[in-house]
Formats: sequence, structure tokens, C-alpha cells
Amino acid sequence: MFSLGSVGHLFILSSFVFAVLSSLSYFCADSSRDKLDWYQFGRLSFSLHSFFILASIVVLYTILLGNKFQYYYAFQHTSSLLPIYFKVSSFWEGQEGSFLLWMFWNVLIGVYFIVKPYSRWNASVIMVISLVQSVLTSMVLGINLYDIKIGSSPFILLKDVISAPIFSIDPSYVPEDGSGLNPLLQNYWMVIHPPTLFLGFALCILPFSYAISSLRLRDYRKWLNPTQKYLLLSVVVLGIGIMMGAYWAYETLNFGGYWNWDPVENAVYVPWLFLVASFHCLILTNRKKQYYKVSYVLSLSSFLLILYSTFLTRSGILGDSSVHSFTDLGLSGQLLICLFLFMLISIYLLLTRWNDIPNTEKESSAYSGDFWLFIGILTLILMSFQVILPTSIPVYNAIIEFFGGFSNLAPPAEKEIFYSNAQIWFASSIAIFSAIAQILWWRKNKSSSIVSLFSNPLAFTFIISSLIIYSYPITIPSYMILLTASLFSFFSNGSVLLYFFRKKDLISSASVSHIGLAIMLIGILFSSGYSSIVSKNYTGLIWNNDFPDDVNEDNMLLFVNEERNVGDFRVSYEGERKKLKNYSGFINKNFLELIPLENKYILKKDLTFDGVDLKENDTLDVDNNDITYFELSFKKGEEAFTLFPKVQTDPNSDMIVFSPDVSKDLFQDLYVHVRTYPDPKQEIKWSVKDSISVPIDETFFLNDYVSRLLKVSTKTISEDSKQFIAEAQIKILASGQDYIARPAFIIDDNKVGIVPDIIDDLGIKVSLTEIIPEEGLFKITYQTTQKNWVIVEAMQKPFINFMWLGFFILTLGLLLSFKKLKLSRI
Amino acid sequence: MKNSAALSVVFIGIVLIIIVTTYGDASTYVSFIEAKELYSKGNMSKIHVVGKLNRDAEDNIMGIDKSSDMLSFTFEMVDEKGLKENVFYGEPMPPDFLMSEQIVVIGSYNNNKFIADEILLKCPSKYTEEKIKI
Repeated sequence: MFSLGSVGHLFILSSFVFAVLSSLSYFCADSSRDKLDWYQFGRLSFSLHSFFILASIVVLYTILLGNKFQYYYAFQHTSSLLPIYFKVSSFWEGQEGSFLLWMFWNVLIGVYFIVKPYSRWNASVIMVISLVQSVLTSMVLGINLYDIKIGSSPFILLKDVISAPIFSIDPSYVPEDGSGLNPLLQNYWMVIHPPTLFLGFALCILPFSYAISSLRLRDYRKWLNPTQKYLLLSVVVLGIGIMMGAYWAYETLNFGGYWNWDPVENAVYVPWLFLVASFHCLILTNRKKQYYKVSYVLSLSSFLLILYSTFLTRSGILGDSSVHSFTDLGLSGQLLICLFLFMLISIYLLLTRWNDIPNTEKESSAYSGDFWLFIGILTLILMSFQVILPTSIPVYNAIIEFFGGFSNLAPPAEKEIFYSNAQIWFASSIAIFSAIAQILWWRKNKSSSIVSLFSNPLAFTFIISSLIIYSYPITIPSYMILLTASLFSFFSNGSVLLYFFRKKDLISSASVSHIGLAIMLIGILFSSGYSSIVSKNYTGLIWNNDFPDDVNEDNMLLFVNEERNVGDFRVSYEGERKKLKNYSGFINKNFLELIPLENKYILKKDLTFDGVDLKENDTLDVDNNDITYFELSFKKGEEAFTLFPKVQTDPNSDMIVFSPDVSKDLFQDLYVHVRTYPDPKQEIKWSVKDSISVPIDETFFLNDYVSRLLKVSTKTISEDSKQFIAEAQIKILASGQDYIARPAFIIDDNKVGIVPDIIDDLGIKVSLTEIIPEEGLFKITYQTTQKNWVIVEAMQKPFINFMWLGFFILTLGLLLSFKKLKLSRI
Repeated sequence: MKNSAALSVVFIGIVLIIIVTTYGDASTYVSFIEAKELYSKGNMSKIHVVGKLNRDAEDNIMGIDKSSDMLSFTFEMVDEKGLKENVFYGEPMPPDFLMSEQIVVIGSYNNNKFIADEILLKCPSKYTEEKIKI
């Protein structure tokens, strides 16, 4: 019998073989007389390659969804309790799976070119895609040739990776559960962000393929139209992918921001800038027949930069400088070969065709749109250099060390400041150049003077900008310039938009995009530059001497049900909450009693939840028992809202992940996260015991709380068991809530056991310590401790929604131009 | 060709500026001894130190001092030259910290204590080091 893993491995091997065959046959077709036969064979090979890729993906999913933990990939990335959508996303948690995801998109793109109506480009494009697929498939081959490891297969068995002693005793041992998905990644963004990003990566292959094909076929003009379209598509998809990552970081990863200038982020930011630059350059080349060579270089290098960033993030070379690059799989050599292969092909084709490529001697005047558009392109390139050169420092070190030298250069220590301080100038320039280029491109004609075109936008810009600078106030020169530049771009592009709308009832998609960019830049400026901490500690108390100073100063300690000021808000911490499966909303953890070893709880009292009447002793499923939510209610005048920041613990490790909750407002976000809370594992210091003997249904004081012993129910576990259980039910009234404590008294074969119940909202432990039958009394013993608390940090992020909104408008504009491009082809 | 010549000059000029500032603002990888020397010379710039957690012969990690609230911690780190040093980090312990096979701390000495602003970890392929629980 073949095992699932060997079938999967076989599929991968086959898909590799057919990818190579496909690219070879398309290559042979060129110089052969039997062109059509070769094409047919190539198409067949590519179809088989596609089939085997899809089949191996199905096999890997069977392993992951079927909890087959004898496979390393399943053991490493999933666990049996993981909900289905995280099992789906565990596929791309590892390197191998994410390569497969990338190949999956390439396959879809390739198939599209196979079924697409004939065009002379199709064959050549599939050839390039097959070649890329051959190289990518080799990354997951998992074979050893003369002691050289080629690729890392996702189908290896656990026992081949981990040499645990259990395998020598029982070679067929299968672990009961996997190690699960990293809590940081248990988020719905993990489900959609990587596929979008990899679709973006995959789409970059098209501009590259067209550029290569046009050089190969020595057709220097007809590639421009389709390439422009695909460039636009990859700009949109990769852009959405990047912004999803930014939103994910902002919303859950608790970095306090959306962009960190981490090398991994830089490694996608730079290719994206290049894609934008090449899109603009192709417009110039296509419309004005200028800069053919630059268009080639940019289209080719966008994809090469994608390969370079793959090398950076997956080879382990960033290990010393990035927080979240992939772990090293020993593929660096292969990744490097892949990069060099495509680089050499590009350079060879460019050099051999260099003198053929059309050249325009015509010089653009400085008063033309083309000129400023080209300056914008150069600025985008410089903008990427400023990021990629420092990010590559580990690469320079590796090169120097390879040649026997020594270099101890490290990336800039304060990277946020280093990158932001430079990028702000480039961004300002882009805003200004886009404004000038747009106005000159669309509105310049013989009748109107240049001055009149710019007078209105400039007037608006200076009025609004000085008003904002004066009233906000903005004091940092670079911020003033970015604001002014963005407003200038906003008003200039707005004037173009208005002009077209009035004249021809048309929407200028380019203006829409650039307006979006301007709004986005304003959002970035304020949310990053003027983010402020509102949870300043005004009490004069020091929370803990062990805390670093800034933690004591910038955070607020909140006891449960006690109001304190956080910024302008009155804030009250309402206690810990759990999320129930199949219900929306959160339930007070104190109303639930955990059934050990199961992900389930018993309800301690009757209540109406989410519109459903629930009864005492109902069994409830929690969504994820490792997650606890903290309910925080905020009040300011009439305004009131509740936030639920959360914490996720990992049963397998010490890992604790706090995630924020955000109150959104068009002009301002309030970003709140819990810094720390009482460690559930820590032993609690209880006060001296106090007790009171009460009959059933009498009101008494438990500590300071009005309480009542509702009933005492007795039960025996089974007929012949000698175990007798008495469970008291005590209602405790506190802060407008009915809490129920259910301490138990157990007699087991003449031994007495006391099972206390803890209400941690109130910091009280209640036990039933004695039953006095002759007097009908029950002795209730209680101990108290500090009330439950959290330490929160709250930040204000002004105008951050302008960034998301601006990006949305930018994307909308790009989609509008995509529509126009499609129409113009017919 | 006037415009394009001018453009090329400006372009190359900016590229040169980028290279120079990259080099100028780049940090360095040093050992604790070198870091201390820099500090005693009054150089307050942030540096990178590469090293490992201090483990005994049985692979137990030594010298970790967590504050009770989990908000900050101190640990012993052995740099590549084998020198041991206490490192203070004013943030909760990063996930996977104890599993790391290599640590890079970015920070500097302050009052004769090494304070890390950032910790980067190199972990063995996530859980391979961990024993399989039966």
C-alpha cells in the first residue's frame, strides 16, 4: 500500500518533471519546424503539471484536515481542536505550504493562458511560467542527490525529522495531537492575507513574462498594452495584500502600529513600489513612445525583486535582523540559484537586444506632464533604494564573509526613525510630482497659461495647510511639508477630476487614485506622527517597582467595577469574559464553571444571553478556551461604548499574546490593549478565613456583599458509591450583578473534602465547611484577596481612518483605470 | 539632452546620499566587551549583540529573572566570544524566547547595565527541539 505521504511526494515529483518538460518543449518550439507539435506537447505537459500541483495540494489538505499527525507538517502546524478555517490557513504557515500556495496561483494564471483565445504571446508567456514553476517546484521536491538536499517536502514523516526515543520503541507511533497553530496567527487575517499576497506575487510573473517574451520575439511595441493591464492588476492585488498585513498588525498583533519597517515588510514594499514605477513608465512608453529601456528594466526587475525578497525572507539570512522571517530550511543555495537564473536570463536578453530597442531622442520639455511623470518614476525608484539598500546589509555581510572578509555592519538600530525620516521626503516629492504631472498632462493647452492652471490648487493648498499647521499645531518642518504636499496633490488632482467631470462627464481614474494617495499620506502623517498615549498615570501611584518607568507612567491600573479616568473617558473594568460557540457576545467568566479536560463549561445560573434563555447547569461550548476577553466600558458625556481587548495563552508554551480592541471614529481611533493581568498560574494570597453559619434562604453578609444561601443540593455519584456530595448555591449581590458561588462538601468513605468556589470579580473564595443538621445550619467559610484587575494602555491614533479610506479610494481609482484599459483594447 | 543629463546627475547624487546615510546610520554587531568600551567612551549609539541564552550542561536555561507581573525580565546572555552578561528587557518575554537557539539584542549600556530595546530570536524550526508529549 502506498501511504498518503508517498502519493503526495510522487505528485510533487511528477509536477516538477512536467513543469520542466513544458518549458523545454515551448523553448524547442521556437527553433523547430514542427512548432505546433511542440506547442501541443508543451500545453499537455503544463496541464499535467497543473493537475499534479492541485493533486498534491489536495493530499496535503487531506493530511492537515484529517489530523494525520504522523506527518511532520500536520504535527507542526495544526492540532485537532483547531477550527476548520485555521486548519485551512495552517496550510501556508510553513514554507513548503506557502510555496505550494504561490504555485497554485501560478497554475491558475498558466491555465488561463492555455484556454485564452490565441495570441502570439500565450506560448511564450506559458514558457516563462513553466520555467518559474520548475524552479518553485524544486523548492518542495524533498530529494537528496549525492548528499545535496534539493527542496523540502511537506510530506515527510514526523519520525524522519524528530529523533524522539519513542520511535525506536514503537516506529508506528502517532502523536495524539499536533503542536497547533501559533496563537499570533490564529486570526481571520491569516486566512485571507497570505493568499492575497501570494496572488500578488504570482501576478508579477505576467509583466516579467511579457517583457521577456517581447525581448525574445523582438517585438518591442505590442507587449505594452497587455503588460500595462497586468501591471495594474498586480499593483492592486499586491497593494491589497500589503494593506491587509498592515491592518492585521494594527488590529491584532499589538505592535501598536500598522507598519514596522521590518525587513520582511520592506521586502514586499520595495517590489510594490517598483510595480507602481513600471506601471507609470509603461504609460509613458505606450502613449508617448518614450523610455522603452526603462520600461523593460522596471518590468523585469519588479519580478526579480519578488524573487530577491523571497530569498531574503526564506533563506534565513535575515535571521539576525527580522522578527518574523521564516525559519531556515537550508534552501538558501537553491533560492540564490533561482534568483541568479532569472537575473541572468533578463540581463542576457536585455544586452543582446539593447541596440534594437527603440530609442527616443526627443527630449520632453520641463513644462510637460511626461517630464514630471518620469521624475515621479525616478523618485519611486529612489524611494525603494532607500529601503532595500539598508535592508540588504545582512546580504553584504554574507558576501564579504564569503570572500573571507569580515564585516560587522548591522541594520539601523532605530529603524522606524531611520526609514520614516527619509521616506517622508520621498512621499512628499511623489505627492508634488503627481500633482504637477496630472495637471500638465491633462489640462495643458495653448490657450491657458501654466500659472492659471496652478493658481487655484495652490491657493487652496496654502490656505488650508496654514490653517491646519497653525491650529493643530504642527511644528515639525518635515510634517508641514508632507501635509502641504499632500494637500497640493489633493487639490490639483481634484481640479483635474472636476475639469473632466464638467467637460465630458468623465471620471478621471488617475486623479481618483492620486487623491486617494494624498488622503492616505495625510492619514499616515497624523496617525504615526501624532499618536498619543491617553492612559497616563495621574494617580501618583507606582503600579510596581519592577516595572520600567514608562510602563508605570503610561498605563492605568483598573480594578474590577471601579471607575477611573483614562484620557477624557470614565472607564470601568467589568471583568473577564468568554466567547461562546454559536452565540454572539461575551459571557461573564464568573457565571461559568469549567469542566476540566473539556473545552466546556457549566452555567452556574439562569440567564438570558444573546436573546436565548439559558438554564442553570446547561453545558456550554466556548469558542476557544485559551482566549479571555476583558470587558472595558468607556463613558464620555453621552457617548458610551464597550471594548474587549483579549489575551490568548498557549497551553503548550509560556506564550501570552495580548490583542487590542479599537474604537473607531472617522477622525480618531482609540486603541486599547491590556498590558498585564493577574497571572492565572500564580498562587493567590488569601486573607485569614472567616465564617458564618446560616440556614437556607436567609440573607447574610459575605465580606461586604449581601448574600443568600439559595439551596443545598445533594447527590451521590452512583448507587454503590460511597461518595456523597452536598453543593450549596449562594447568591452574592455585588455591583448590580447576581453572582452565584457553588462550593461543595464531599464525603468519600468517611473522608471529607471541601471544594471551594472562587468569584474572581469579587476576589472572594467561598467554601461550605460544615453541615450542622441538628440546627439546620450550614457553615460558610470565606477568604478574600485583591479584586481582579488589569493594567491597560490606551492610545489615540488621529486620522488613521484617512489612511484606510485613502487606500480604498486609491484602489478604486486603479480599478477604474483597469476597466478603461480593458475597454480600450476592444 | 540637457534635461536628462541634469536628471541623471541628480539621480546619481541622491543614490550616493542614500548609500552614505545607510552606511552612516548603520548599527554594528559587537561583543559585550566592545559594547562596554563604546559606552565608556561616551558613545551612546545602539548596537547589536549576537549570542545565546546561558544554558547548563543539561540544557537548562540559567539566569532568567522574570518580574512578578511578566512585564519585564532580565536574562543572562552569552555572546559569541563567550562572555556572559545580564540583559534587561522592559517588555514581556517574547513568544518562543526560551526555545531560541540564537538571540540578537539591540540596545546599549546604561548605568553599567545592558538594556535591550529589541530582541530578535532565531528559533529552531518551531517545535523540533521540544520533546513529543505522550
